[in-house]
Amino acid sequence: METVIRGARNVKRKPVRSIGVIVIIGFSLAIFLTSSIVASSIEAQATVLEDSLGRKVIITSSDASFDSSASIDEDILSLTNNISAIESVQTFVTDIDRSGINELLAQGGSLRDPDALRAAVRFISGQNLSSELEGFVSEELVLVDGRMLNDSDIDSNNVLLGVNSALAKGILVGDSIQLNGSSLNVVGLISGDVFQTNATILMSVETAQIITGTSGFDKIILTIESIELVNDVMNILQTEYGDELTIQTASEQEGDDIAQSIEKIGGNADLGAIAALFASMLVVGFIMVIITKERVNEIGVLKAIGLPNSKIVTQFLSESIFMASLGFVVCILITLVAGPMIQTMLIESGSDDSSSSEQGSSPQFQPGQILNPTPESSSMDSITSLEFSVDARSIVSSLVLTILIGIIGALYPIMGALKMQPAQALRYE
Amino acid sequence: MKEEIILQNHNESTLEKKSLNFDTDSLDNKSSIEQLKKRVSDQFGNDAQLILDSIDEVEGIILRREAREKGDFDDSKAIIHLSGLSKKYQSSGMSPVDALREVDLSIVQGEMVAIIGPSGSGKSTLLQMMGALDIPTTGGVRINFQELSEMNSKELTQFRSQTVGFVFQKFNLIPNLTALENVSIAMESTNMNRQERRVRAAELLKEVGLNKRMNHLPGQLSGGEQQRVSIARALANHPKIIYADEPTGSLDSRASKTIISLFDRIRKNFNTTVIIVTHNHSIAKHCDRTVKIKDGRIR
Repeated sequence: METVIRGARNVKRKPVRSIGVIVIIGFSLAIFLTSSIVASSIEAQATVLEDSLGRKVIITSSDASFDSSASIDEDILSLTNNISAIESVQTFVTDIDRSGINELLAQGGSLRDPDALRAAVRFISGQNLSSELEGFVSEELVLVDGRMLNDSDIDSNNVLLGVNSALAKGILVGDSIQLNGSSLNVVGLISGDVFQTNATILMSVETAQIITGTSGFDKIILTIESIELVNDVMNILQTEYGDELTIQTASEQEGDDIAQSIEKIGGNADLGAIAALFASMLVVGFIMVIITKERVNEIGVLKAIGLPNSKIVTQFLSESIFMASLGFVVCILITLVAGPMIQTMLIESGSDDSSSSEQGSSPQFQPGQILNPTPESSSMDSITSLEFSVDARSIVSSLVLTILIGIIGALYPIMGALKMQPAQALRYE
Repeated sequence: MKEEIILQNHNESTLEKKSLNFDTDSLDNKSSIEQLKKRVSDQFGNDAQLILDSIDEVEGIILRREAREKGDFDDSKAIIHLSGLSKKYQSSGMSPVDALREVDLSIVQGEMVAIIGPSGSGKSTLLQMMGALDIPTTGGVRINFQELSEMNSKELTQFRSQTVGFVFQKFNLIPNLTALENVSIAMESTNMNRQERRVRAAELLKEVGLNKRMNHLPGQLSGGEQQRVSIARALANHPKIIYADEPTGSLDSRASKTIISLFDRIRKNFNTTVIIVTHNHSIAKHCDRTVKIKDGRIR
């Protein structure tokens, strides 16, 4: 124990250099720790997304465009209802023509400027309210006023209005919007992370079908029970509908970009971790070589007075591990302070601009994404908005690494000195 | 050879200096020593004690010399016995250097021996061989009746800890350990616990006159004090032999005298064999024997 304490005390022999070494170790370890955390988080998220994306089958018309052609026949529902592997079915009538907004009636009958409202609304779409998604409730939709739509609103003219549209035009819950001759009642105002949510009109798919005068859908999303059954379901659908419909998994449709981003971010994080690991070992090893070489003479004295090699090794190991441990403390401090920033840098280095969740920067926004919080719209959001959280596994691995650095950093140079005869070590300069 | 002993008067205001010349070669028996002591007492009166102490040392040297000549010292009983010892240093790209050549030497317990020679003569190398700090190229080294070549690394470490003690020219104290800790560290390979080591270290420091400087770092001690700490460290494990490599090389004459007196006292009190490497002939005079070395050979 006395030897260990003596080793720890030796750290303050050259305080300026010791502080420098500790800070360098801390900084290198912080990069490693943060990179590890990001890599772990990305890996976990990727697993979730992979499963989520892989289990989603998206059906669109083969010649679908962004007009509300609703060209998927509703007969498909009778087929999907008979496939037991399908967990849920979401149907969409998307991107209803905004030019149909021709009046706005406030409560009490006063008119508002329909042109202005038209300009303030970006998307109009409908989704089935009887899906397994608990109606319109999702992580991305926040009810600002009024109420959410529910099963009782099927076939009703009740709608949700994006809060930006409402606020811009002074629309309140209870007002009415005329669209294609139908009077839509605003029962709730909503907001969300995706900016289009704040400038949208949402309704039940049945209402949308009435407004558009169609009975079909623009898009259907099937959630399959397990990823192993996806191919079977797709085969059934493709056998039935062949070239009429485009049938693909969400990962095929949108996931490649996401997978590439995840791979890139994860790769950068791994690279950062490896580089930081290598750098810290190199730095610590180099410094310990210098420190030990400066004290070969001291090692010679210790050998000359009869101190066994084991005690000499213990002393120098203690010194090295103590210094590395202080570096670990610095690492934790740096990680807590700068970790989120380093994570952001790593994520931005790998993620696409198109996957940013900032308002006004989602040019590839797909109709129906608002009501379908996963996978397309929020998959990248779930990555870019990953919360920086220091997990126990990363801390433990960093601590183990710290101790390894301390051990290897001291052992390698000292072994050379111990092999010398005491006289040789005493002469060493 | 004539040697002048100069006594400095204790009255600092007058700085009166007295001196007495005598020929050390004439001190060849006890009777002549007694005559000298009487002369000193008559001439210096109350100031005679320092000179008388010096004469006691000379008396001891003569007595031991007499015993040796009578054959009371037996090589087979030598605590240090070197036979045909050679050491060659080989550096890459350079021709080998013969630091020691066929050295034969025997030293018995209790002797104080000076090894004297010019720079590069092999003095320090000889000391290192005797102290198991290095390995000879050829020849035998028997210390305390143990052949060093037959010892493994662990046994050599224990030998350096228990049998011998080293005093270096540059003190070689651990800079961030106090005087007490520097002495205590030499005992870490023993069975003593921490408290016992500290008590023993304190006793040793008191023995060398540093009881008030125990908790000082080497940087806070004078050269002479550091060397005394080094000597205390060398004594930590009751060694049979103390090797001192130029122990006064970094000290002034006053401190040097203190150190040599200390060695002599150690030898007398503990019957420790003391081997001193030096180029200072005045130090050699305090020793039982002087071994001269030149170009790696004993002359």
